[in-house]
Parts: sequence; structure tokens; C-alpha cells
Amino acid sequence: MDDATAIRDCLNGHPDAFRHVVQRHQGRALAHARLLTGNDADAADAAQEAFVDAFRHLARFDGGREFYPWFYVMLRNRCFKSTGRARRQKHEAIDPNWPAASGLPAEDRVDLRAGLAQLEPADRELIVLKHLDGWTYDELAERLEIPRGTVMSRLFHARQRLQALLEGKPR
Amino acid sequence: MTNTICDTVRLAAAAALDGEKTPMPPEAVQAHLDGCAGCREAVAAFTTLHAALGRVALTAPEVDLWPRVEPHVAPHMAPGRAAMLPAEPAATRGRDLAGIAALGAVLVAWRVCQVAFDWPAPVLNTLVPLAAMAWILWRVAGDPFAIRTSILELRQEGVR
Repeated sequence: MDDATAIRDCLNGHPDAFRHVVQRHQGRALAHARLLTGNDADAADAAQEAFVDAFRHLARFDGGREFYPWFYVMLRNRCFKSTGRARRQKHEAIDPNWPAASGLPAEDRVDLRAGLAQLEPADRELIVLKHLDGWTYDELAERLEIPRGTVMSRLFHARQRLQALLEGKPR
Repeated sequence: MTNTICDTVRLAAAAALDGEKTPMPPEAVQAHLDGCAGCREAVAAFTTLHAALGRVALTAPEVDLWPRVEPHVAPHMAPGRAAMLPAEPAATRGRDLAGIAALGAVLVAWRVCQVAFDWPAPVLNTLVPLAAMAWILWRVAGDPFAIRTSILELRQEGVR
């Protein structure tokens, strides 16, 4: 069952249809949420809340488009709210299990993880979407609703900050 | 210490590594790199970071979210019933509407008093409308779904 069919069925009152949508997209959603929030517990909470948000606003979904980009806006809002809460509570956790990096020496892997975890969520998001999801500058500009030149500049500075963190320099 | 040319060259080199159109011609970037040790070093370090980031993979925690989502949606998904939760709790919507109506009444009353009694209160005259606008903006900006999603479109599917 594809997303459009599942969502149409869901809107027509078939209880199981939304389960297909959640189970199809939860892996990607949790992976993004983990990188945006920095830990599994907040990631799961944010993804869960985003799916409930999506369900609540399903009537606004344009069936001619893909589900995930529409859902991602809600997911990132939930993630940023979660990281805002964590920062206010001053215990932003760094989960030792993310992200996975193949072919890197263990020390580099740890440094990269720690560096990404210490970045501001907006910087982390740009790096994740560029390097882990492979979005182009044009796609980033369109989906994050910022000019292409801003994408280039913000991404450049985000990676500079990551590099400084990895080298132990102050940001 | 870097200057504007060095910054532009480093930005262009980063864009080139990303496979993107660069803000200055590649020949100009290369010519600058040939003569600037600082930029050569910065670009080399960036190239290493770029390669490392290219080997990072998205991984997802092993969690099935459906059991956590289902209790929130199941009561609204009885067979034959449209599967929609209210966009917002009715009580909240009612409070917002009442608040906006009350605010409008206060602003109108304020303006009437200003004109009728010629109130010389320049600070309050500015602060009251500003406070009203701030409240309305806060209510609007507080809606995470106010972001336009219509232009969003992804090509890729699934977790890499």
C-alpha cells in the first residue's frame, strides 16, 4: 500500500491505514530525530509527537505529493522544541550510539559523533541533510525556505564550527 | 587571519567539493590556492572532514512507534468515521477567539478614549498596540504548522 492510498484510507476511517504510514517512515524519522535531538529518548518522543501531529492535520496533506517532506516540517519542529526544552533543563544528552560511521578509525568516529552532538541543532540539521541525506543546495534552500546563498554560507560555517570542535578549538 | 578573498575561495572550494556551482570560477580558486598556504591548509582540512562526513550513515533506534502513536489516534479512527483529530482542542480555540475579540475591544476602546478625551499618553499609545501585536504574533508563531509545506518535495525515500 503506497502513502497516498494509506492516507486516503485513513481519512475514510480505516483504522489500520495510519499504521502503514507510521511503520513505513518511522525508521527515517527516528534517524533524523536522533540527529536533531542528540539522543534516542527525545528522538522517539519527537517522532511520536510528529506522527500524531501529522494525523491531526492529515486533511491538509496534498495527496499528489510525497508524505515525508510534509511530515519532516512537523518532525523538525518537534525536535527543535525538544532540544529547546533540554537546553533549558541544562542536561542535553549525547547518545554514544549515533551516528554510525563505517571505515573510520574508532577515535575519529567518537570525535565526529561528539562534534556533531555539540553543534547547534540548526547547524547539525544542515550537515545531516547535506551529508547523510544527500540533499543539494537547491533542495535545502527549497525545503528549509532559505535562499541558496544562505544555504551555502550557513553550511560552510556549520562545517567550520564542526572542524573547530574536532580540533579542540573554541568556536 | 583571513581576508575576504580567502573566505570566498574557501567557500568556493567547499561548494566545489559538494558538487555545487561555485561563487567564483575554479581557475580563480586554483590560482589563489597556488599562492596562499593558509587556504591550501584550510581546504585540505576541509577535504578530510568532507570525506569523513561522507562515511557517516543515518541509523535509527530500534523502536516501533505505532504502539505509542496508536493510543492518540485510535479513538478517532473507528471504521466508517473520518480519521481526523480536531486541529486544536476546542477549548484552546475558544480561548484564543475570546482573547482576540477582547483584545480588539480593548484597542477600539483605547482609540475611542484617545480621540474623545484627547489622552496625552504617547508611551502607552505606542506600547498598547505593540503589546497587542506581540501577543497575536506569539499566538501565530506558536503554531508549528504555520510553516508553508506546499513547496516541499523530496525525491528520496527510505533511510540511507
